[in-house]
Amino acid sequence: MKKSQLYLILLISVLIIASLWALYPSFKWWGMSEAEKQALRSTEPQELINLERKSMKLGLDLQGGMHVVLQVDKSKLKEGEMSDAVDRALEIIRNRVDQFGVAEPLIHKSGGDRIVVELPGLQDVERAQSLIGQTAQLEFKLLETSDNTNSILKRIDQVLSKADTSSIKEEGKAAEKKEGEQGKEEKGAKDLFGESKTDSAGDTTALLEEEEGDRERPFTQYLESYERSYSYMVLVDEKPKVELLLNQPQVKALIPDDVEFAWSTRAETFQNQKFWGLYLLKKRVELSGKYLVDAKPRYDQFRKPEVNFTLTKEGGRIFARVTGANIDKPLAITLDGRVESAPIIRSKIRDTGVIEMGGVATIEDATDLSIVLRAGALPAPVKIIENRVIGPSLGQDSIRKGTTAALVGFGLVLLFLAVYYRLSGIIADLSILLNCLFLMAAMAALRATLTLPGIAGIILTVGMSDDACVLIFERIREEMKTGKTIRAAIDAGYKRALLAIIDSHVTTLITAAVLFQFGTGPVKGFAVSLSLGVFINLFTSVVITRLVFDIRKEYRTLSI
Amino acid sequence: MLQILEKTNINFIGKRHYALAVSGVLVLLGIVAFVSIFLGKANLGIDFAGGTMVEGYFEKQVSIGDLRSALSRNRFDDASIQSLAREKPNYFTIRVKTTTDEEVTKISKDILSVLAKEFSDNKFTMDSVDGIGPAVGKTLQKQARMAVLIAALGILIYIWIRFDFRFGVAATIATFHDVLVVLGILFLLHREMTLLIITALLTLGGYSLTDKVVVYDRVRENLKLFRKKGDFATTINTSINEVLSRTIITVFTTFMAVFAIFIAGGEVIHDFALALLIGMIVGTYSSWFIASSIIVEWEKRAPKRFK
Repeated sequence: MKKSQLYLILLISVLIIASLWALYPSFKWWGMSEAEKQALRSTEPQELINLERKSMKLGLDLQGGMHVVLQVDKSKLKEGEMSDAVDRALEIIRNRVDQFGVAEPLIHKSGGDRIVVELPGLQDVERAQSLIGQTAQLEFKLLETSDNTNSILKRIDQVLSKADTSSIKEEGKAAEKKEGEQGKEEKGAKDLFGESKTDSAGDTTALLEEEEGDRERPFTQYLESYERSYSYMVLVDEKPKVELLLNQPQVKALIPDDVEFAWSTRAETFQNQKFWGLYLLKKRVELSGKYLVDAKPRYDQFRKPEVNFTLTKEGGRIFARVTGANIDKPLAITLDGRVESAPIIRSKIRDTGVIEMGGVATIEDATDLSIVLRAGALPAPVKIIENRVIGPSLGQDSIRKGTTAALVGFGLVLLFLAVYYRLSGIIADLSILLNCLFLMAAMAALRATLTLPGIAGIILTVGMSDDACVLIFERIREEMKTGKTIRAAIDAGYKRALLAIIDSHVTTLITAAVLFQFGTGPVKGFAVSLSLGVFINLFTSVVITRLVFDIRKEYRTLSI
Repeated sequence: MLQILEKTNINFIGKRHYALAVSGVLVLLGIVAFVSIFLGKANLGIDFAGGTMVEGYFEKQVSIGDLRSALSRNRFDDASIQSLAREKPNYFTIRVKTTTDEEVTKISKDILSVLAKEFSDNKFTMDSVDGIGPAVGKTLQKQARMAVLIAALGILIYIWIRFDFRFGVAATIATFHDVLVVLGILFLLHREMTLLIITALLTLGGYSLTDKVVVYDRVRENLKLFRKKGDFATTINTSINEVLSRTIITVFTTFMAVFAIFIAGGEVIHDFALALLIGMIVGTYSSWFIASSIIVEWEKRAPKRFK
């Protein structure tokens, strides 16, 4: 045996051991049942995380999860701000996702104004979507005084009672037709809250007709207030009516420039009924979220969730000034234009504060709010334009079926080669097995993602591997027929076949490269396994099989 | 040794006229398919058409009629519902077009809440949700077209470099032929056009190309040998015959492997595997009859000394 052959055998052995070592975590991870994972999670959580990290990454189609594409709304941005805004948004979203605690999230830019977020294994899809998608603009605003508020409300009543309600109904109908889905959505939303009226029409104009109600107070009849509170409560059912009325041009004209109406973030339950809160706020932003340095979710003394926040020094100064000047007055804390809470300032506050979240909120709401506050507000609003969710059962199903089918196909190929080419076929089988081993190890080591099409890609690699061996063996058979010695036939076979093998592999690579460039998620996974397979194949099918054939210098017969 | 084919001498080139006629029809079908897709008349997956799709199964029996009326009652009166025969019974696909600018997540959320409300005693397990905004579908279409174009260019250039310009052109035409024919057949079978199918088409293009490369390689070798004797067409014919056994065996084994995925790999990659299977057969056929015929015809009309 030549020295070079010895080195080659050594190299191959090292590669085999390295591959097995690289794949060991994956096998361990896949082999563990859910119960075993839970057990490990409680005793040694770090080890579990490490194990998961080292195993082969599974695509969304195999482990379930969520894939969203966000588009940054550039309508309010200036010319050059776009790319910067997208980068900042990316960072902020990454921050939020990191805190959410998903293993191996994938977040990257796509095109000029899109952000792709992939959260494998995620179960709580809605929560993640709202966490990612909200702008999270935090603002502190004062409320309008009750005197001013009352006079504004009175004027609205007057204007509306004088107005021709039929024109409002017309407008309502037209608005609904124009908004089409929007109007239907209102209906749908009310139905979902389960308090719909018996009539199926359900559009707001019909309701206005039904309940002319108090002609003296066409607007304020829907507003309930209680002595101590500074806001008004509107029954869930009646919110659309109130919004419609607030949108009337006559009403809009009445509202002074420095104030605006705002709704609460969520509907509260009070005396067995659900209400939205309506506030009249001063538009001026006293303090914005950019002065926030930290936010933590907590339980208050009544076991209700709240968020404790800390301000920067500068923010603390501003906050002290504002609170100092407005003792006993309410301060509204708004998130994306909705009032989270409006506590009354009891004393000057410097740099820490509390956002109470009301009775309906859960500790998760508080946690999510803390997350977005800590990560910061998005520089521009984003919209989810693409959304794919794979449920966990489908993922497991796909893994099971895909691997079984792959193994069956694999087995068939191996069997055929062994039967048709006898001993040489078995050598070819070994090379194909090594091909797969190296391929999977490479994918694990490179942290490449295995997707369902990726499994198909592995099968195709097996096909190419088999093709290469067939090319070589057929050529050897041909050469043997022309009367060459066996040794010469083997040499000639390899030489002639090599060119064809290289050419065909390169053309496959071109296709794979194109697929990788233009594909998304699962398609990329396919392109990766195909490309890696092609490279590794050149090594296993040609070099390794050659090595085996070269072990003997002379052959009297060849089992091929 | 076991041998499937002894020395053959099938006159592929001789039969090329029949083949070209058959191919002509199939390619026409493919073009029809392509145009239909373009016009949105084919069975477009939401990858390209946009929309929201919810797939899942109910615990208990539900009739399509009930499902349809339940959705209509709750604003989804244009939902397209299909009952799928999967392992789990009561499996449905619900598709809704996206006409507005509404957030896609909201639509899927609403669909799921409607199902929860209307069938409150019959749990619906969501297997997958896909929501594509209207603009995205168009982008994906554009990307798919770009991908095909670039792949074709890459192939042409590579074959040109390695072999010959004419070989390159013939290979590219043959590959396009393969993709169009498979597209036409899938269209005939009314399969849904998704990103995965496009992937399959590109893959089979690359794969059938390897077949042609193997033939070309043999042609190149034989031309060197037979430069002085034998005419061009015969050389090509001989070359194809010589690699025949390799071609049959390779296609057979790979077909077996992909076939396993086709029947047992699950619904998600079922159509993908189908496209590959059809593609393998068509690709082999086109290496024998199309790619080589083009070169032969070309040589006949514009003879040139082959290097």
